[in-house]
Amino acid sequence: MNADRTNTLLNVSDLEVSYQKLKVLFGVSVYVKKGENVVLVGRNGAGKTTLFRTIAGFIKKGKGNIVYKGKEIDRLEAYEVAQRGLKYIPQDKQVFSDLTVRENLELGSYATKDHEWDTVLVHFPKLKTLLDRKAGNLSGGERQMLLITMALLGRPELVLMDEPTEGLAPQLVKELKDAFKEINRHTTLFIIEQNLPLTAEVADRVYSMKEGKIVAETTARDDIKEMVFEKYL
Amino acid sequence: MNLNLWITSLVYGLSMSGVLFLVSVGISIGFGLMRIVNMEQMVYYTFGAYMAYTIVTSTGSFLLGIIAAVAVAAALGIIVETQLLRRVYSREMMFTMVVTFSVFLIGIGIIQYIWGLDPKPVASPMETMIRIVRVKVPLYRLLIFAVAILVYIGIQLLLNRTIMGKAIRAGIENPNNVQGLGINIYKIFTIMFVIASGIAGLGGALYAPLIMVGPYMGWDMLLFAFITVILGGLGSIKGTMVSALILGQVMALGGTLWAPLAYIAPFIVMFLVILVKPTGLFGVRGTAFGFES
Ligand SMILES: Nc1ncnc2c1ncn2[C@@H]1O[C@H](COP(=O)(O)OP(=O)(O)O)[C@@H](O)[C@H]1O
Ligand SMILES: [Mg+2]
Repeated sequence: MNADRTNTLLNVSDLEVSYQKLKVLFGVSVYVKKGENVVLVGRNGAGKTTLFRTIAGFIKKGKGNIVYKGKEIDRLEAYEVAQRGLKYIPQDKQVFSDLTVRENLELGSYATKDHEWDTVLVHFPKLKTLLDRKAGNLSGGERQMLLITMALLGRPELVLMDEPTEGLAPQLVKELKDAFKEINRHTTLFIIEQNLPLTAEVADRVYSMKEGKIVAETTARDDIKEMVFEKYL
Repeated sequence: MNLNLWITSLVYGLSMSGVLFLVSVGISIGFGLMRIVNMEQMVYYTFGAYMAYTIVTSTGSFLLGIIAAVAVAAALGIIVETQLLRRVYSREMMFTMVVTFSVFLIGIGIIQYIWGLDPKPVASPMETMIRIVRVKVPLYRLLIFAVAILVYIGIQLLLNRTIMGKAIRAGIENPNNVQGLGINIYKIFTIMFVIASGIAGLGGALYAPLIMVGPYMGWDMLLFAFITVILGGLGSIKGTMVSALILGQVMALGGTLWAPLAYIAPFIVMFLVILVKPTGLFGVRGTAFGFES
């Protein structure tokens, strides 16, 4: 594995997770260092979402451990994990549709006591014009922007994003890509992506997952650019 | 039917609506927010009625009886939620139903142990009659309805104007995502649960002077409470209110026309509505129990 492991923010080792009797993660080990943008790729059903939801505290692990900022977090409730500055943005792009954009952000502020919206809205200024819109009436791209903005309240150190660009138009994907780079200047990112060219552009490091196992870790700049991680899928 | 009958029936219906709303709203909230079927709400309702009996008989003050009813019901709610229900929220609905039903049965047992089997009368807090278009009607029945409306407004203000309320509405849509923000959803569950049980206790205390208070009063009410929340749409407070309004009138009018109708008519109305709209009048869309999309 990678030599320099100082500054490790998240360290997952030998994680095993099952849904009832169905085992879906078989000894997964990954780590994320402070400031990195790590991308996890893999086909549908590989177990990517399960890994993220387990890290975020929504699923209880079978074996292994999850250490964040030097402390075990695998027995915490999901809200406690979030309170420690590790946020997870789910795959389904579900905002609170019955609430306005403003109320969605208010909830993010209530949770984190961070009321400085300007700092987080810089990434998606468009949201400022949509504050009074019901979140249920936003487009897919706008929802994703809102979810990211809400997650960034409270200045989390690590944000896990589950297929943030899935189903979005190319123009929006480009917008998000630029935002990721901007956000990554002060926030560590761990992103699940199926868009491989995008991955090649934004990733510092790439994990390939297959059938519940990490089958490759791509670290060399050139390998990432050439998308060598593709051949492991 | 003459005017006298109509107006008397209307007022009886309103008081029935008030009681139905107060005992049902907790079930609706429990389903919408915690995704449980909390049958044990009827224990708080029954305890509320008995507290009114005990306090009114010993002190003569109905107001004190009401306060005691709400306090005791809320306290029971805290105990049941934090000690028991919290452990079963994530289990399948059938399991939580058995648990809350057991609490209901245990509650009846405790009530029998404390107060015995004999029905207890509660002295009427007021005999005042007022006139509506020449027809004299009991003011107390209108007051019950007024209290229910105030409770409804209070809940709506809580839900729409406070950040806690917004968290609750968000939790009704998607409890996981509320947690994901870093909000302790369990604390919110407890608060809502205590409010709901206190309201059920209030319902029992308010209804007590109009009925005989007995250990099994929760049984009869359970059925009507379920019809109320199903007709209104599980999880919708507004639906519960509208449905309570409809059912109160249906029961009063049905009873006026032909006594057994008071009990049959609510079922008929519920079935008709469910046939046309399975989620009830104001069914809330959520991510649980087939309410998806
Ligand atoms: N709630 C669940 N219950 C049972 N099996 C599940 C559940 N969620 C996911 N799975 C199964 O676990 C495996 C991994 O799913 P998931 O983590 O969603 O993969 P990915 O995000 O890589 O597409 C799949 O086989 C999927 O069918
Ligand atoms: Mg997935």
